Amino acid sequence: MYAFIMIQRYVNRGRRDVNRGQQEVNRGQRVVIRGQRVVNRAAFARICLVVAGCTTLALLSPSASFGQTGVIAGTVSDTSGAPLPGVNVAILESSRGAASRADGTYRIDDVPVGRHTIVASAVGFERTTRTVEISEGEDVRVDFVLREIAIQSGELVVTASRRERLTGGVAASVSTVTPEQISSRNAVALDDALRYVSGVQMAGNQINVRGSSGFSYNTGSRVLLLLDGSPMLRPDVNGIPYDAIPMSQVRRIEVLKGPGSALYGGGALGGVINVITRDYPDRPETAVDVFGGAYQPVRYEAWRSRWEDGDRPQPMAGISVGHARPLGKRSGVWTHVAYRYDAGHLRLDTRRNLQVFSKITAGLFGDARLRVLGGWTRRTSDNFLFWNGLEDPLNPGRIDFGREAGSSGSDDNLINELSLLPSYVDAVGSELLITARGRIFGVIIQPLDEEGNPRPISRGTTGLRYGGELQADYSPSSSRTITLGAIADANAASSSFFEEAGDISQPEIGGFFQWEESGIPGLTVAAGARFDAYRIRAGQVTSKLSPKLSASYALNDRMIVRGAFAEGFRVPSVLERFVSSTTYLPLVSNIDLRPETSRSYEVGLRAFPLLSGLSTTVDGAAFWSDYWELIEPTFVPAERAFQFVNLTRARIRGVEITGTITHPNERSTLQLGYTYLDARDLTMDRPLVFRSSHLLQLGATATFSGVRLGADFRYASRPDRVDSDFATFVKDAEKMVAIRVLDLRIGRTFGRLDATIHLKNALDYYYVERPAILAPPRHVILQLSTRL
Amino acid sequence: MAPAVTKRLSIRRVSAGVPEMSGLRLHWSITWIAAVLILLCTGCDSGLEPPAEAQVGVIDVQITYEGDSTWPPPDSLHDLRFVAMRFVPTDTADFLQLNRMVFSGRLRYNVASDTARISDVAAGPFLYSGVAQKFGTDVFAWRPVGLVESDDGVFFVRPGETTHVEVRVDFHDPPPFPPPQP
Repeated sequence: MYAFIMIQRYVNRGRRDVNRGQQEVNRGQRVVIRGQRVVNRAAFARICLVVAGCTTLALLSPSASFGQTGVIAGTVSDTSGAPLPGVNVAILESSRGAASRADGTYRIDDVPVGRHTIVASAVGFERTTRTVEISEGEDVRVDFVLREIAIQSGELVVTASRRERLTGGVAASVSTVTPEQISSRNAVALDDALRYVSGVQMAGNQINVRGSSGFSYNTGSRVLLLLDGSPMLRPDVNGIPYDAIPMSQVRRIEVLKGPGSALYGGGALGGVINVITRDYPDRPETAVDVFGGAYQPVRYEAWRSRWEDGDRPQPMAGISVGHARPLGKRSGVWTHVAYRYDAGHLRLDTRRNLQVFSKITAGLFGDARLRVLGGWTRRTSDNFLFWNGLEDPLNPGRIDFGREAGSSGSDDNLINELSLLPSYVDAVGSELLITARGRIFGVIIQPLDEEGNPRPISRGTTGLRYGGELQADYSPSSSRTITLGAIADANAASSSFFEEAGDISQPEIGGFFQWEESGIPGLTVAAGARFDAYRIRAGQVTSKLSPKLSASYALNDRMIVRGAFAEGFRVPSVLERFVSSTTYLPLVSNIDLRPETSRSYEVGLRAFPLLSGLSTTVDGAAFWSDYWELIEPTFVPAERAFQFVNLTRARIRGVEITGTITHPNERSTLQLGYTYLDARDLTMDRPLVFRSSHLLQLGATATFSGVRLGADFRYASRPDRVDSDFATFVKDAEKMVAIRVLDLRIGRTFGRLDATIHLKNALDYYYVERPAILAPPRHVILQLSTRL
Repeated sequence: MAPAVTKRLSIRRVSAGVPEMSGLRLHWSITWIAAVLILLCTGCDSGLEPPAEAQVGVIDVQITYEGDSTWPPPDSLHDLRFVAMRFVPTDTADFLQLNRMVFSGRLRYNVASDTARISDVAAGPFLYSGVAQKFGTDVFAWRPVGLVESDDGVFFVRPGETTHVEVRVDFHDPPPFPPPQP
């Protein structure tokens, strides 16, 4: 402005000089020249005036930063007050905006003065706008409270990226199981809860996520189990301890479908299951859950007549008591004790399970928090290994190789499992989150003698898994998060079934890295990798680098597309490598087993269509996974024995569609999940064994006049191939049918007491989930729950 | 420079109202749709069931031991049985195919002749049968010491009937194993 004024003065002076020059023209040439100089000066001044004016206009534009801006900042939360991370807050018709951070705060700098419309949007929530007036140098606070428009999309999940993210913004297929779903179905063990997840199939006690696992006698799970983020695979067989989870204290179960080794390392070949336990409530509470019921005798006299108890209902019952309370402003504890008895629907199939768990959360200095979860599970079980043929499925079979005493199809054990999982979390400023986790998981298995007394530990199996990890989440801006971490774990086991005496150890170290960017509104890209190294035996180390790349893009507030690529691997378990036995079958060790590896691609779409005011979620995904060096137990003629070998090159591809429709007042819900699998053994050019092509889950709930109704239906087509070496000596092991199981329930609340009657397998349909073991027939359960 | 001025704007909740009556109709529609879908999927199939009454017969075996000093030493005679197979084995590993063979109880030692009877044998052909000796502790340490030779070793078990077979055993001149391929 000052320059403009000075230039104007210069122009005026020039004009005066021109006039003076004209008056002096009669005085001679020097005067004329002087006048011309004045004219030139005026012209130059006019040019300068134009340039100055243009410059002034440019400087006064909205992008100018000469103190004519302000700041808009605030928080974004949901209707319950919980902060919402990853919400896009933008100024309409401009490129300015920000994404809310993990604590829900956001900040937009350099906002020009004037009136603006700002919009907060996130998939699954009502788009909300505000109009603000910004004055020079002013900070305006605008807080948003977003209302959910679809229940599923509002969920926070952690497994897909090792930190909390909204489900809709995650570039992976993740299903969640809520405490309400666990309780309403009386799921007392983890496998009970997982049966109702789309794309998941239980093969006995083996989890099969999108066909990744098949059946391998629970040796070497291809799905990794985490408990509050820490691996929980048995140290001897790398199997999942389904009974070692305190189900009544679960806050959420997340099922990541697809390889997860880029973040979680070995074992996550086909997927990851993360069981997240609750912390503590705002007020003390005591929960008591009791259930009792019985298996109905099978309807075929030909089966019942071969078992002296075949005509009697077989009982089951259980009780769990949990108490939780705050201990201070940021501290609390819960304790859970549970006992369960199950006589079993088969002869010699009785189980008793005692479980004690506790978790303490302590707020330390600043934002630091310490959590310690510990538990002990004691279980006695008659292990029913295989039946006596389809003519006698209620009794264990025998394998007679020409000895007086043949090999029985039952195996009785006493199992003790101990776990200790401490974790420490601290926020360093607003950009850095540090998490440290430790874990100890031990197992002791003792065979039982004829009187049911445990034999010496030296005749059984012991195992210990211990280690820790350190993770840092760095968010230098609201659109970028960098995750770094390192782990170290050891895994030692000793068994009378192992070829080598003494402890066999398989230690590992690893490091992981992930970079997430969401600078472009609606687009999130993540890339990462993990490096793992395992010591197989002295002087021999195997290592694996597992990369991942994923992206998600919100087309609008109701539709988000995603794509992902990831690799996974599984290191053979100690048992697969070292087992050697002639007790039942000839088994020989194979210490040269190589890790299984996988590579997976997925594209998906998640939408929240408005349907006559209902809340709806639809998710569709197409996936393609390749597997190498899959380990299968097979008979090796050269060894004259069974052996775990790297046998198969496989490909599994398919599509999955899930949907949820909920009435706005939540009086009824309908859930549907369909998965198609094309599982191929490329080594032998034939279908993969024990994989169903079609999986269907249907679930419905409704409430009428306080009466709660629920139904769940599971369908799995008969596997295209069921032959196996197992079927050559176990009678009718190849007999498998499609699975069609309908569960019904009805319940009501009487004051503080919730009562529910369950009719499981209501149609009394007979099937097998794994070869040669009849699945439970129809059974009735009365469930009573109260909260004090 | 003037200090920054902070303003706080009020929060406005947005609610999406749904007419109660249309929601109730949809509520019932959802419930009935779910019930119909489940009933359609269940069908009338009841799953696994006991196999049809098996057509069974009996195998009756007459065994004759031949040759001087017929019997092997005790440390190489761990078991002795009559075994009938529904297939022709090509390796001792085929002895794991228990579902495709039947066998008698343990036979007597140091006798000149013996008999064996196997009941409840599912009807059908048996292609390779005879007396087998377990000569070691290994699960695969079996060898044939005498075979059913009539009709090229093939016989049929018919429902409700007894099939008679004869076996001549010579521990010092056992038949070759695996059997020569045709």
